[in-house]
Amino acid sequence: MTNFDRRQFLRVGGAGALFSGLLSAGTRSPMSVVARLSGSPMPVTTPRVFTIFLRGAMDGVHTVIPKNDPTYLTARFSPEMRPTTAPLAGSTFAELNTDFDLLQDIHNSNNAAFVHQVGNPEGERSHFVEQQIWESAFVPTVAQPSLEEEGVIARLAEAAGFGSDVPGASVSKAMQRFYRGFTPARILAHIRSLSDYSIGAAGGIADRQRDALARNLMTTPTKELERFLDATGEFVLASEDAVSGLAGYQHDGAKFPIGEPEATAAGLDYYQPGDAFMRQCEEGVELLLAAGGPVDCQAVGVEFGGWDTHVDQDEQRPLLDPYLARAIRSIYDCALPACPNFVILVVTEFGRTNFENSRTGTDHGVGSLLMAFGPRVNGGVYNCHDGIGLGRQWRNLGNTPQDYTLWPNAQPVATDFRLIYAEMFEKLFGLTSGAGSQIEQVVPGWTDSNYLGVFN
Amino acid sequence: MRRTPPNSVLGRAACVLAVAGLAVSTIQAQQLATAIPTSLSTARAMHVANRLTFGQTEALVNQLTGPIANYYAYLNAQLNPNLALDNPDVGSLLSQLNNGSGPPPFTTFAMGMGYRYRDIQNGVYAYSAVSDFQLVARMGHFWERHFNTYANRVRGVVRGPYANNDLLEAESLTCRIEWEDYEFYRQNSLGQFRDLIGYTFYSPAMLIYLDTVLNECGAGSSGIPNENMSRELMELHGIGTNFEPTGELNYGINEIQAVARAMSGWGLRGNGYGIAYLRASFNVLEHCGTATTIFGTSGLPAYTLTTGINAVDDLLDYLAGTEACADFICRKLMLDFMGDGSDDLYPNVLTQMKAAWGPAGDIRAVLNVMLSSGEFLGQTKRWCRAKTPMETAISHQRTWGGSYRDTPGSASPNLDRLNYVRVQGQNIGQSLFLFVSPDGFALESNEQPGSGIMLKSLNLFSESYYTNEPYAGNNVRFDFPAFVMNSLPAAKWGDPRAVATLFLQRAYGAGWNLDNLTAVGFALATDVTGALAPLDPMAPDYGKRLGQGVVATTSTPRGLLR
Repeated sequence: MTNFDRRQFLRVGGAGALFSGLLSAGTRSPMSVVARLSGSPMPVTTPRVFTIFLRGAMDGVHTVIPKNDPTYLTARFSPEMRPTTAPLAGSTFAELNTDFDLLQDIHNSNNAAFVHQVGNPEGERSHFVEQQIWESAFVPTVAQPSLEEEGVIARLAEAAGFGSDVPGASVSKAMQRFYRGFTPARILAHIRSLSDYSIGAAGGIADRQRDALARNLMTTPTKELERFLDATGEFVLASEDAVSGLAGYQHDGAKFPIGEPEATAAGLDYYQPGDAFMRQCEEGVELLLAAGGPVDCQAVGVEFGGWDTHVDQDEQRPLLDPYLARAIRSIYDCALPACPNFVILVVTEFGRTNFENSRTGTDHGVGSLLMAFGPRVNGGVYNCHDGIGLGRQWRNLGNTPQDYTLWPNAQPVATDFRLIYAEMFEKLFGLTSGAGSQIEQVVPGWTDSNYLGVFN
Repeated sequence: MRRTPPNSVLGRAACVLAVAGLAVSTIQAQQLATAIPTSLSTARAMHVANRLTFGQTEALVNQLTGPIANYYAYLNAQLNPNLALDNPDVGSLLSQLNNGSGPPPFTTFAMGMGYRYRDIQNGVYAYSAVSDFQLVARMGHFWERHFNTYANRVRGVVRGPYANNDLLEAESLTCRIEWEDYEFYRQNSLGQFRDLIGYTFYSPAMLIYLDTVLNECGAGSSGIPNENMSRELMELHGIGTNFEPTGELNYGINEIQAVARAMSGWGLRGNGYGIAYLRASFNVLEHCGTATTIFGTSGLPAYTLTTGINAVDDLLDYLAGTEACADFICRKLMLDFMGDGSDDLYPNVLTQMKAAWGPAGDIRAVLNVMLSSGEFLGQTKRWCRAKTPMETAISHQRTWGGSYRDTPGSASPNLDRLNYVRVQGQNIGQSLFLFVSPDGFALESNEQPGSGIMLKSLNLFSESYYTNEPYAGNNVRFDFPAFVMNSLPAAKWGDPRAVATLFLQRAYGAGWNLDNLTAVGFALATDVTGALAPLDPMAPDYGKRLGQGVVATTSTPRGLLR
């Protein structure tokens, strides 16, 4: 399969200009594209963030278990709803679900932060509302489409001055809101699959198809078409060209198992939806670590669904958890030798109810578990201790679902999720904080810098 | 969280103001009722046809162009269809499903029939692509997405108790269940909303998908209800999270839990594999409903839940008649049919639609108000609404007069050719009945925008039109030479500029520019090597050359917009 050849298009496009004198004055100059494509190699020294959004709301109590909460056995009354656990060094209160054993080494290196009871204090427990809020970092009191529809990573990219033709990318079936911009300058790439970056079949006919596509995509963008733009201000061609120019990679089935044989070999119970997730993670790492050329991705995001465990959580989580753990560990292992300034940020839209329901499931809660990994992370278990520890003291799950009037049958919000974002943006990407700062723009209205200390 | 109601003008200002020259007139159009035009130009007829159907066709545009009476006659027929008189090609395509078995039968379904998801997906495509009653097809798909269920979830649950633990049998059974739902939504798509929301609650697919079958909180259980269906009934099916006119929250956790208790005890009762008898059943021992008073806001008068087997029906009777429900559904309909951007709203039309809603949600009346309005007919087109992948795949076949027949003389269409379109829609990102999230591929979800979707779509169009050989393979069959020769004088058949203009007008009316003309013209003026070469109507590659032009036409980004 032949990759799209920008240079061939430019050559043919020049001939096209001769056609009937139709080329308008508004058509983009090919030379501007050529100039942008030139770049000198550079090491991966600039900071990077790899986001993993767990769609459906992961139950954090099933991941980092508050073993010393005296009400834990009451709230999770079914034995199958209580996973086997292993101690987390440094914590006398919480333990880690053994399906996440691969993360213990990262934790022991002080590069893993497990932050309980993070969320939107105004949380409505709606997947759709809360995903929008987490990805836009905007909690609306007045409808403001420009802020609601725009992703916080897209704003970060502009504020922090991410460069290159592909400064950030949502590597996912659908464009994640995290990466969507409301203005062209903020729109990041949507890459469904690196395999899409070859067009048509090989040979002259395919080349002609590409020419037709290319020529039309050089049409001057107008406002209504901005949703299809990339950060360069052009339609997909810039990122298409840039990504096509990557050297490619050798699939590593041990790190990112795809398909049943590789999953089995990696010790996983095969879970078909995990295939797409693993592919996204592997391609995401390739993009994250590409530097010095037209692809210099400082933010890459993937997503993993299936966490809305209203029933059979005891059966679903043993399938999901090992895939998530494997992916985090593999991304970490790939990035660590190459990049000293990266963070893997794992978020979900809200937590789940303290009490399991009648069918070994949990319903929609509020406070959730946020995880961060990488050399810029101050490791530890936050907001989950009985008096001495990092962050706030744990609020017990309760003796009945009616124990609390504030955030009933749910974990509270000890830490606003925007505080975590702000801390990462300031410490990792150097944004200014406080009133009138960059962070106030990127995380709309946010001025608090009394950070939890998750990042260094 | 209380939100200030979105200002409809401000809400869409970004899109509107971008079209600077049109901004003022468009905003004014929202504030004042728009006059109904006396006639429709070709461009306006194309715009209206695109909104009302799965994509304009040359014949439909011709039918609607001219005096406005043409349009109202068409609308009247769409709102009052005799479904028995539909295009016979629909029935022919449906009869070919599952190797000639036809759609899953409702009363005689049995083990071993071997239905696969593609069969019912193709069934939906048959109605959507070919039916003369496009409004019914559009609304059937609208409700199917509104009351979305995820087939794989259904398959997983029925596999054990009803399919001998056989995955393929479970898929076949799931097809039967999902198809009955779709057919109900389609056939009742213009009926009463109360009937639709009532049907969906008791549908086996929905009972499974949103866990109602597992919502047990009687004396023998922990007493903690499953909240999944309760939440989605309110958030997605009935009233939405907020009452938009005031910004009030429609419900809170107390309502969620109380309604979840009212819904408890409902499960499925089957007769082995006899799915015809698989129906909702109520077990009072697993019911924990209480006579709790809930709601009590501007759009939702206080309501006291009843208990027992009638609790859900009583609740739905109440909900369907509330302003919150009318407001929520009418807004969604308006966005689907009239949205040309992200937050389009026409207060005058909305008010009239809600007035037509009635106690149970008269969808036909509501649609009649909206589709008859000057706003629907007269709004300036802004090319802001992204098509869903299914709309994208189907609309281009309709634009170019795609045929599903093997030869022009074939008596009936070939399902394999329609299947090609379905696969296109799937490859762009929409697999019918297999959307996992209960919002059912919402128009304003993250599913549509993005450069990756664009790239994938353009790849597929390129393959579809350029590599297409008439009568060969399983692609949709196009006859581009006939289209050109029927539309242009003979002297223009070899004129790239004239043909390019024809193609762009066919696809976009007046919505194209010089850049597009250059691209399409160049594609027509060059051969497969990229060298300039005469466009010769007598040459054997004339159809192929025209295909190049269609690729270039379709590759315009507006090909993904409506």
